[in-house]
Amino acid sequence: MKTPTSSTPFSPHSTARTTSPSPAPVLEVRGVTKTYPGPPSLTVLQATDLTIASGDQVAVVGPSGSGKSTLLSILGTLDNPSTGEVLVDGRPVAELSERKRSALRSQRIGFVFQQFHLLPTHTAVENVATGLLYSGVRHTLRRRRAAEALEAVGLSHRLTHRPTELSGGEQQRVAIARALVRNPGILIADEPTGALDTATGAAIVELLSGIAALGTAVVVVTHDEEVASHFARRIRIRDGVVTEPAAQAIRPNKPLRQGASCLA
Amino acid sequence: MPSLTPLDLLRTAGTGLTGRPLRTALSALGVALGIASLVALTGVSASNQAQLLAELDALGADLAIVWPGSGHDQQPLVLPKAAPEMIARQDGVLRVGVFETPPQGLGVFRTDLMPITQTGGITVSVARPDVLAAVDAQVASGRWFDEATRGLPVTVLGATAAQRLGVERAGDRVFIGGQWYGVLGILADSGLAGGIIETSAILGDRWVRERFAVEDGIGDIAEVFVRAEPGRIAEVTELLASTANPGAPHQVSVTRLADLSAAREAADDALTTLGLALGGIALLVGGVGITNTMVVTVMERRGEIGLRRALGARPGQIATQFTAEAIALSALGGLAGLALGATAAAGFAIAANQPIVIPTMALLIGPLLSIVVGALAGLQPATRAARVSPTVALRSV
Repeated sequence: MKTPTSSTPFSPHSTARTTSPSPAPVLEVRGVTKTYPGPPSLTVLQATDLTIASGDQVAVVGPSGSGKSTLLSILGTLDNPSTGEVLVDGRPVAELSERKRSALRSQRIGFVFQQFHLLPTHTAVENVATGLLYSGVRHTLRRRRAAEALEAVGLSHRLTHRPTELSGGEQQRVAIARALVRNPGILIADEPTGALDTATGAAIVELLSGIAALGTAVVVVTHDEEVASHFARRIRIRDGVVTEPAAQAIRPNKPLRQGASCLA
Repeated sequence: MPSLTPLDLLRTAGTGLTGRPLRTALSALGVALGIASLVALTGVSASNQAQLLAELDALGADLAIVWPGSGHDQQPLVLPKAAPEMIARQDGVLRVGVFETPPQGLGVFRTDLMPITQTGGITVSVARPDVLAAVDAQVASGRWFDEATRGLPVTVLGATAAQRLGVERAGDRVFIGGQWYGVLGILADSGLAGGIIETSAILGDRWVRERFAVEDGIGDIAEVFVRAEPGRIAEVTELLASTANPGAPHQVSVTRLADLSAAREAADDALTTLGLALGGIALLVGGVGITNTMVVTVMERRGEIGLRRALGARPGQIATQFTAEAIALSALGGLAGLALGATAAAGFAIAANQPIVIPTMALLIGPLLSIVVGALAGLQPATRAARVSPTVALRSV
């Protein structure tokens, strides 16, 4: 099996990403709102503008019920905004058919969930390979790339374990590997540490912010200020209103090491 | 646009089934029972018919019976005296055997002490010596009529008649119509063709003509058994009526023994129809069971569906996955049912000492039917699955 180089552990098969000083926006949100029709109608997201570029590290922070999940669904093209538009790689998502939108997700957007959503009957490597199932990649290649992605998140020794045989932190790493295996332009993580203890969560945060250093934009939704403090951009959301403070202190991130074994 | 290969689809569908083996087994059971009953009952019926055909081939396939027809007043007509000789000369006819009209009201008893009402269902037949060869019956004990004995007060008993009378070998005597008769011989079990003489006490034609000469119809021809050369029964049958009574062929009835057995085949068909109906109902119930399971599965796996949508699965691919699961579930049941049904049919055939026949149609249609049932059963749940919003992956716990 081909071992990925330490500089690009997640993209052994993709062309190298450009790292120009002002990278092109991967994801743009213009005047997006979300209103659930009533009665009474409920606006959960006020007019929002947001631009996320390659390599951005973004934390969306807000208390529960603030509209975080709604914003996340819209960013991930899982849900449609009531008004405004979402552009992925400069293309408006609203114009895409369901078919093309699914293809876009399968190629450009990776998801990490609070509940991991691993398939209990699958081994770690099979779970990660599922990340490529809908991208038209052959079975054998899927497995090879899955094994490489698991190696990159430090789980090369857990390839054939099932989720029940893995710790919470390991399960989330498998989920992250599943999101990364297809080299997404953007990784969206919904409370990725929500089901983990503090130390394990910290390791996952470190892993996620390290991914951004490799060129993938990472958007983490969290209610935890501590988690958010590890990300360069912090976007606050409260009662559906999104604000982004100008200057922020960033906690130093250790660069992601290949085969990092920082699990608690 | 990437789409799943059939193998990928199979793997994905298999995941859902292997994840919950007990549920899979129980849901497949309904379809398995349906297919099993279809295969078993068609198999049993086919074995029955194969047995029947084998019997016919062995005993009666080349046999036809010529009877006098009935007139417009429903009175039996009379066959010309020369009919047997003319039939014997017809092309393709091998042998002819003649039964004559028996005297009326003769009871057959073991002794003269039996009450006359206890006839035991034994009838009296009157046969010319040529009957034995034409019917192809075997003598188990004693002898058949010859030129001397056809004029004597002796009788040859059919196998069943002898059994009912309690006569075990020739040389005994029985009491027929108020007179003692010596038992000249006892016929062996003579199968289908001998059905008519099984329960008969057969008297010699010459004896009956002399002893009962005053009665009506004595000496008239009751039945002519015609054995054709192998494979020529159809053409022989066609001409028999004209040969027996050239002047009035419409006054002659001709029956092929194979036609007599058609009634039994029809009864078997009724059995098959019943089996098909039962199997159909079981399949329907099995299909509903699969729908039920799939509906529950889709509800339980909303998180997985959301995840797959987030991973880039199209609604159509989700629907296909769950339809494939339902089909796989049903096909699994179908295969199990096929094995079960075939085993049952084979077991029945062995127990009944019949040839084992499982119709190819059942083998093909069984699995095919289970696939159709699975597809229909999976349709609604799969459509529901496709409608699950991908955002549930974010919310479901």
